[in-house]
Amino acid sequence: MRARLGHTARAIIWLPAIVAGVAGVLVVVALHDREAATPLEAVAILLASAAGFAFDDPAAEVLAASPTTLRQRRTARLALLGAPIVLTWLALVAAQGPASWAEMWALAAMFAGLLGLSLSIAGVAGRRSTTGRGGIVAGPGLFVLVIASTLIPPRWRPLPLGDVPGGWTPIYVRWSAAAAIGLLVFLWSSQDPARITPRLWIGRREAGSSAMTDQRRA
Amino acid sequence: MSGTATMRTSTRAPLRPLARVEAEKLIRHPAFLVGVGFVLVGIAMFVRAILSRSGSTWNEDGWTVGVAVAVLAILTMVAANLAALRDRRDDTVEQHMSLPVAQSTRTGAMIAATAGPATVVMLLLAGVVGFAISRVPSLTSADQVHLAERLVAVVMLGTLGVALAGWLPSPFVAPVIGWGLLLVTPGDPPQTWQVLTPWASLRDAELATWHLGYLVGLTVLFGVAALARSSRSRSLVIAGVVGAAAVIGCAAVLLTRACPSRTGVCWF
Repeated sequence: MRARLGHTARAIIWLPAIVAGVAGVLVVVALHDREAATPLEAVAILLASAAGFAFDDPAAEVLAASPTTLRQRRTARLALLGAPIVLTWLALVAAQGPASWAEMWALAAMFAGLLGLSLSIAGVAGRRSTTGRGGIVAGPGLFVLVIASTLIPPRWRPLPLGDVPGGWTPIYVRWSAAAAIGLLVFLWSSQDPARITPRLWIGRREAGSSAMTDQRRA
Repeated sequence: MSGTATMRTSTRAPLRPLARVEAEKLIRHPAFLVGVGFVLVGIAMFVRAILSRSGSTWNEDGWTVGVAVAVLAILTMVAANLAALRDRRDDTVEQHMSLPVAQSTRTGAMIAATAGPATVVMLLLAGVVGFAISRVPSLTSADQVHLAERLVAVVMLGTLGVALAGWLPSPFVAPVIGWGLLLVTPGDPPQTWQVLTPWASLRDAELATWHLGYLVGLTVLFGVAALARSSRSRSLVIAGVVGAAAVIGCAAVLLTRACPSRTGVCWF
């Protein structure tokens, strides 16, 4: 297991995460005097966009035939890349210092939501592309989703950046819902393409029984 | 493969067909099409505002169109960046180096291809301005310059996308720059340096024209930066000097006149 993780770690594209971390530090240093929300929102967007590159695997086509399922391969990559990303976010939150615990939880929910959406976009795009690289869609996809969200009035805005009517609760609920939906889409997109589905199982069974009938007739 | 020889032929002849092909690809790119969707929503909001109440003006209600075109310009940058990184993604850099067409010609074609998205934006803006003129008081000189600025911003950011692909070849960079451009949008009250951001809308027509010149200068500089990755020539150096002079000159005028210190009020 440890050896496998070592090889996986070497196969991960680390550059986006490193660039996002450095850019995040610069943002926090440059905007340290402002309210915590603005720089930490920018940091969350940077790190979430970088997390989308977790599943980019040039060898995806070759590894598709290996006994390790797609979900297991993606989970290993996510664990390896996700840990430093979350630690970087925690460090930058500590450095910036939110005004209250309520704001802290709102920022945490937002980070989780952005992370979930980024992983879901990368997961679906990686599955649909022949090269297995969905990371290039994660950043632009997040950008489009958040901008599209601003077209909706604040009362109903699904991905709120900034205040919305109703205080902190709608912010927690909406970003947590985004995280949950993102996680579900990610899990769905990570189903192994070669898995035995009920339809495939029934089809095989019917094919087997008809073959046996043909043998008996012969 | 490192010893691959590159045959060089005429650089101008293949430029036009390559640019046409790339422009068609840019226009059909999902990122650009999503941006067009945003512009159509912005236009719909503007038309609704005009039809629902009397006394509307372009200055009051036309901002939805301006913001949507700004988003489209950012998505054009992303599309151009991904298109320019296609070679790296497909591992065909060296294969293309062996072709008779020089790398600088292909980069030039990518830059010229940004005229495709700009044409689409121009048609959309022409349509909405035609409708606005028939319904609301005519556009001011400053409004007309703002529209020209948005058009130049599409070409400028498309060129920036190509330049980024040459110098920072990662698809992660362009969306981050896009977020950065939104982050530095002038707030209320604006800060003097924010007059140098692409989306600063100056209320004075003369200052807006200086801002337009500043954006044109930046476009030239980004184009030079993109081409300098693969070719160094005297004409490129001259273009760089002209672009830098335009940027520095216009920026100096904007920084000194956009926020007169005596009044404490900015023109944007």
